[in-house]
Amino acid sequence: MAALALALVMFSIVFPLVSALVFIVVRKEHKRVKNLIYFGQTFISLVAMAALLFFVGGGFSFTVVFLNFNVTLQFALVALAIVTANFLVMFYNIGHGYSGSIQYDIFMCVLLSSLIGGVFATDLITNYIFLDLTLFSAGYLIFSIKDGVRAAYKFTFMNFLASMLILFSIIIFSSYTGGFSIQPLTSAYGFEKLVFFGLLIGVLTKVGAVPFHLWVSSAYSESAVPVAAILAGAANCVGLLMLYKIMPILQVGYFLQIIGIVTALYASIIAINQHVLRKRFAYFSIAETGFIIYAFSLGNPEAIAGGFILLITQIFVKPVLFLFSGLLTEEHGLIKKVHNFGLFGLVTGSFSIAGIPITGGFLGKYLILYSAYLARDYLSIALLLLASFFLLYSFLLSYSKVSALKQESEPHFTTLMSIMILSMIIILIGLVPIITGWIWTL
Amino acid sequence: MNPLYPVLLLLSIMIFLDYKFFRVLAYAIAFNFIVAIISLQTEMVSGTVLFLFGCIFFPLLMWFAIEKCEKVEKEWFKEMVAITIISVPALYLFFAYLGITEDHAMLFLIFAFSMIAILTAKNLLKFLFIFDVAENTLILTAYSFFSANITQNLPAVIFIEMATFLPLVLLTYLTIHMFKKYRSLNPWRLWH
Repeated sequence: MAALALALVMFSIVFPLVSALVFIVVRKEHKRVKNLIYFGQTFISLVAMAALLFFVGGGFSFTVVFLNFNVTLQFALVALAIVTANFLVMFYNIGHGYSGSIQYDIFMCVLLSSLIGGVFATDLITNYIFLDLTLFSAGYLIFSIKDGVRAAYKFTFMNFLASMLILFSIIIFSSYTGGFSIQPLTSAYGFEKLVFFGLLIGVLTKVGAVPFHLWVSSAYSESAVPVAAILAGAANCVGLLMLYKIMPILQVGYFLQIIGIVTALYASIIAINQHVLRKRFAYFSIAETGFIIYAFSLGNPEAIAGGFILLITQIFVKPVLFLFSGLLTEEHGLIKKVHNFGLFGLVTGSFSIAGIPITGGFLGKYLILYSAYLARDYLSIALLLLASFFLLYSFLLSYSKVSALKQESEPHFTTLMSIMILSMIIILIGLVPIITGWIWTL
Repeated sequence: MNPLYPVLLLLSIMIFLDYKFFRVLAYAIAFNFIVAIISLQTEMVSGTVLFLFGCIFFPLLMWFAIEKCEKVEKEWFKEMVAITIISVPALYLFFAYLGITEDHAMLFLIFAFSMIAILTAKNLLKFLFIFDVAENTLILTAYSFFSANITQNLPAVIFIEMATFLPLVLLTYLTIHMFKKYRSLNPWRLWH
């Protein structure tokens, strides 16, 4: 089974890179062939990750060259969520013709490969390498549309600074411990606080937490719709997973709790004041990140479970919101046309962000608030509920603006299919743990 | 302490202060060459890869960027002198306070100075050069700490080098496009 786990993980990392090479060979005008390759690549990755989760399971560790990977059930589930979201975004991609330039397709493949690698990466240096590959491919993808250069520069500049801080911390960490495996540092080492804060600031910048969120709103609102969907969902998830993995080193739980609450509250307030819908969704995304950071910093089983549910839900929620924004034609904040069918996606995604039943977001936030209640952290509960209220208010503002508009033309069936399936998955994540009784075992 | 470390610090300061980009390129090549020499003294594989990336690929990339968008702003020079005079001794005292007196204190100093230089530089090309200084200092420090199974492993060294070098390539590419679009290399335009 360990060999099969190794084969499936390596296949999921290498196969998109092979597909990227095929894109170089296929000429630009062969659009159908390109779409077929795109479909095949994302579908096969989906099958591989489903096989890993359902037939192999977790509990395997292996080393390839010097890269260390660890397969657990949680990570396999996150990887399956990422490839599923990627598959659905690919469908939207084909319908809207984003799959136009060869570079775009190649970097999409590299991004998927680095995301899967980042999920299973165990030690610090493997995480660093896959995060940097994500930065490289995502930076180019943001740039790939006409006006994306400013957003891409902001994104690459801030994330590159963060990468260097992470590498700096890894070096000091390695000088203490003699390796890269994640383990607690004691105060006997002397300047371990440099490691804490270097890693913390680096990872918080990569996930776009307040006050390191300066790149987020432009990167999500000025890039192509599928890129924003994957960046806000899957790429953000890999950064948050790294935060989860390095928690034994950080030992700054209380400080992180404050960062989480401030991020959720600040982003939810700023979201109200955003008049461009995609910018509002970008702040929704930052707020969700704040909730997850708070959950991981609490550290008890309910909070971790809630954090993971929220983490997996956001992989689908952010694509729903950004794909919905792709249905609109916005100019200087004025919406010109809308397709009514997409409203279902807007409602589901926003309900999940605001923590309204029966979505995955509700379940995750319920568990997080319950664990805060167990920890007698009443002030945090009040502030997080306030953040949820502001998010709901922002959604109502968006809904009133969008629902008043008339449908002008029929959207492509791939768009509707992607939004509908993503919305159904968000509801399923909210229902399945309750129906199967898993939630009551916590 | 390696006697070449003060030379590295001096070169990193020169890169920050100078306003002629082809001179800056010469300092950067000298910086990367010394980094490669120090690395070669202890480890053949990592030293050779550092030499390849630092003294061949990076200068070619930067030469291309300068050719595309050189823009000299002499008036920035005075502010940079002030930042350097304040930050270098302040950082040195900070590291002494933390108790970092080992062989790598100077490398940490160069890295910390580079970070301040990155945040205060007022030209996107300057960013790229200082990014290179910070990056190569980090990699040199990394190789001195990493175990032999990393530094003698060619794929491992190339992986680490590529992971840090590729974003720099992307930044260079984006800098050229920023210049084409805004006809300016002022980074503060980005945030408005």
